[in-house]
Amino acid sequence: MLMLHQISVYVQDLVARDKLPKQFKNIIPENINELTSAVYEAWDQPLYPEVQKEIAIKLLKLRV
Amino acid sequence: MSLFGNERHRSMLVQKTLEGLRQEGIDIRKFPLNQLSKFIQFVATYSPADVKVFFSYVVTAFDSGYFSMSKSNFSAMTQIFGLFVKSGYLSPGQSNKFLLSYLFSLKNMMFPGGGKEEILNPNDLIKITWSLMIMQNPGTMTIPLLPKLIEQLSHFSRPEQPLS
Repeated sequence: MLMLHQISVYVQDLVARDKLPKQFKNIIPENINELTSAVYEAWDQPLYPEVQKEIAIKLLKLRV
Repeated sequence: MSLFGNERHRSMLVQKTLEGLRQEGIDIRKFPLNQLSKFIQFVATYSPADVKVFFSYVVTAFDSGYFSMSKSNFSAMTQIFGLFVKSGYLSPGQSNKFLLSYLFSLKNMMFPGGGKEEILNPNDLIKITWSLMIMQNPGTMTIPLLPKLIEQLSHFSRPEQPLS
């Protein structure tokens, strides 16, 4: 799923750069694309948001 | 109770096998590629730091002509190739005999001759396309087989206007 999503993003980027014909824009069917995007978003979430928030606050305090 | 029943057993088995290989000084090139591929996948899961050693061995073995690509070991090589790309050992701009042999073998698999084009099985197709995509610098497409793979992925039929 993640691989498919990344391939789709890569191909869309190439289409936008005119390196692939426009017919390639939706190489992954819409319903599968929605599914792969959802899986990617779930995977891309920060694993430790609280810890990251604390570190960010500490770093901000260190900044003079 | 199964020998491979749980994660801990599998992890122990991989660790002990690696230990045995080191102690006995066994040359992994003696293993058939299919078995080597399965073992490397186990190593990647349970002892990822050791994948580097296997990468060096496999690349050296290809460079020295010890291993060669054939139709029978294509599937095993696809697994190994995907794993090395995923682990970051093969990256854009890199070129070695292993990579070139793999691409040549892929070309032979897709175009066996006589103007025919073989459709790869979906799992291999996604894995190979993704691996080759990772081997590209952003926004570029320098591997000539990549458009054909993308075309297969989309079941894109344009006999009147072939892209590549």
